[in-house]
Amino acid sequence: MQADFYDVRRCEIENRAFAIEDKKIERVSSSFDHFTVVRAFLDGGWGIVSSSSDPDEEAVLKDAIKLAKLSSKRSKKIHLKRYEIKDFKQKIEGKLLREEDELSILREIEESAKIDERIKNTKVFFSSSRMKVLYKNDHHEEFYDLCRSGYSISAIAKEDGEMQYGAEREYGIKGSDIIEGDRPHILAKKAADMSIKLLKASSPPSGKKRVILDQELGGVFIHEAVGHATEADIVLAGDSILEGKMGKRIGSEMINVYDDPTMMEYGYYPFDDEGIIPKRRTLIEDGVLKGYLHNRETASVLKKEPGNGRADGDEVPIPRMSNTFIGDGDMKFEELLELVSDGVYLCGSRGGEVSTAEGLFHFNATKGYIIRKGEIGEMVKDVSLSGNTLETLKRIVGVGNDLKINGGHCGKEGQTVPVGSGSPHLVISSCLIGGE
Amino acid sequence: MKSSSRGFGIRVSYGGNFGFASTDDEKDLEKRIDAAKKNAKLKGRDEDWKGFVGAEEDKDKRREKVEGIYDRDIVDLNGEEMIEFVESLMEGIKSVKGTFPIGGEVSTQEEQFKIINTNGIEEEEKRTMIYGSAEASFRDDGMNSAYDFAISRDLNIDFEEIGRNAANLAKNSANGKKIRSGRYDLVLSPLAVSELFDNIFIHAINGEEVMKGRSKFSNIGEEVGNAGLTILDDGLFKGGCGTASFDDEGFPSGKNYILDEGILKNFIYDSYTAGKEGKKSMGNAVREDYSSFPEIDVRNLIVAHNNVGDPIEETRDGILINSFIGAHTSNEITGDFSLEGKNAFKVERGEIKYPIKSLMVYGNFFDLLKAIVIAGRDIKMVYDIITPSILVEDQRVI
Repeated sequence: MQADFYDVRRCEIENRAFAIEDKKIERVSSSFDHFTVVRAFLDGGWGIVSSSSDPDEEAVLKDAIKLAKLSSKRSKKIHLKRYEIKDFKQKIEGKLLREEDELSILREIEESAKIDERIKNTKVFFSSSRMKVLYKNDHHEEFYDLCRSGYSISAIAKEDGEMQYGAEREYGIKGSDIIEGDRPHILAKKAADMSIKLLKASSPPSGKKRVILDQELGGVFIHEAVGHATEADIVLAGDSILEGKMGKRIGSEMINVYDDPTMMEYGYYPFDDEGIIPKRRTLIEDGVLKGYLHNRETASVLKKEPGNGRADGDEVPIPRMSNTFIGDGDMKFEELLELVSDGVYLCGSRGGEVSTAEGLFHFNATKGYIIRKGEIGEMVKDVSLSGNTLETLKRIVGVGNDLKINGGHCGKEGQTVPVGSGSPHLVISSCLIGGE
Repeated sequence: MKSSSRGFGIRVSYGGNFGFASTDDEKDLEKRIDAAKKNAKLKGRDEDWKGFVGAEEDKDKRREKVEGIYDRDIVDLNGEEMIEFVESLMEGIKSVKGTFPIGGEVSTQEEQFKIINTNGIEEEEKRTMIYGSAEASFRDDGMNSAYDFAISRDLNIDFEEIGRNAANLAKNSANGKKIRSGRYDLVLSPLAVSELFDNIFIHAINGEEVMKGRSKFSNIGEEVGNAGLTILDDGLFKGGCGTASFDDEGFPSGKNYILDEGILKNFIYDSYTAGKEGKKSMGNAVREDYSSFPEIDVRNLIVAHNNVGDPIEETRDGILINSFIGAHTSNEITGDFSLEGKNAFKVERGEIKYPIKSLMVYGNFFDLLKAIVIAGRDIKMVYDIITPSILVEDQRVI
């Protein structure tokens, strides 16, 4: 038996992680993993076999073909499109410091967070991983070698029985030198300062309000509420609010949304986990839905271009985002404040969840500020926002000119991949805010 | 898809501390042991590090063997049979008119766990797991989706029922109405209960978090829950997801009361954190896989109440919530949460009346613990949390 298509992905991942808490090194760990995944496609069915040992590729391929044959009996008979791709090799050097030096820098960063006696607990977490990926199928071969690193700083402040938390993080396509320079110290102070200010913050009034989202929360909104709904596997499963909306207006004319794996942000990759060299995709243009995100299979079904097939470790590549963001508008932040006049300015994200089928979202901001007469007022805490994705997209009435992309991790079907999400400041004319 | 992996998680006690390293390559083992040694050295001396779990600890306990964690029938399943299970999920969905499947998954796992240390621990155990889940949707003027799943260590899952449950829930959620903001009694289904416990309670009872002052709980003996509420962490629970003869440091599993009739009885510890407090491990060191560091976690957290009945029947004016959207956004330290309810229904005079379109629950988990008054009989294993549905009085809903 011969497969209609097969490919082999081999990865080597070297990872190290440190955690320092209250000046004590709580964790030092290092790991080394490698695996090989062989996929075969036959008569519409996939067979996938992965192994952490160094397997005999031919034997594994035979095994994968057997599984493909089995699943093909119940599969729709789709034809998997082939692509001409040239051999490719890329190495992005990441500077790696000595572990002793990393630890002493991290200790100094933690020290920077101790700005006040009210700061009762501080924590710094750092991880750096180097990944070598070899992809091949029956007619070409690709390779990359890439470093990703990141750190987070968190602080807990206590006063009069009240306890609050502040955190900052940064991730990038970088070596461990991401922790060098002033920036981590500035972020450490920022995290601590936030935890202290939140001690005195009150809860915001709940109800429908006019709001500004900062770049981080705007990025989370576009990633969670819109981005996931453009993933073609979700669309094909009938689980997306954006199904059947291609070419239609789904939001304010001010909104342009892109997914760009070629940007040197945390979601960057030279080729995806199916060997496709990716391109920037326009998801929404002037409020009109323009594109979905595809892997090889969904692209074949919907006759579109792949390039977003990503996998966590030895899992199956599925359509995923890379660096997803709302493009810049032309308004200054002050103009946005004036536009809101009375409302709430919501900043940062403490996570959120979305139901892509119903188009409902719920996010928690890390903090907010009351806006009165176009001026930023007092800080508020424990503020969440929720609503309907499509209604909210239509209610975007102001887009700033200050796009910023933040690195983070995105989970889907138990697979976690590095991504970037971003936005300029946004004004939403009405949104349900929760607080006290 | 088929996948196999095998690897080594190594902890080395060296220079007054321990270091961790892992590898999936046996040839690489010597090098990784050196790496773990170096990691121990980088951390420096730690007065609280008292070494690994020893074989002499709880000798009598060590003989207790657990039941129901390995089923040969799961291992023997072939690809054809697995596909039939997926088809059963789909059949279940199709049996409910007008619904269609969003997805379905069946997976099995066979795990062989072995732990050896220089204090004489040498333990080995085989475990199996089977999991099935289905997501279905039903269209009205919008879309309604719902999800159900089951997990088991032996081959006794009714896949068709999972599909049918998801489809019924999706269909019943259609044409939801809005409700007035106010205070209501809530009936939380096992999934909704487990989401709150998973994101807040497990943090609050973690011995390390308590020690560092990051938990709402501090004093054993304090009354923290409703007087009828008892919560147990049981590493020996028959057929549980977290069941094993020993924890992931080799410490023998046991049965520990966390709350006994509302009174806080114990926190959970691994051997290192317990040692800091001059206590013994509670058998709560858990590793995700060989490459992950052992962390403090529950084994099988069992939620029970003295007052057992039908929470829906006991509700005069309330809301049934099947799950929450975004439970991980809850504040694990203060217990505050504001969460959107999914697949929610209005309950009046003991009966489910109509689906609710969108609602938000504003609450505090620690207040909610005191307001749990009745537990149902519909006990479900949601991974490492085993719980019935519960009735919680007087919560704020918008």
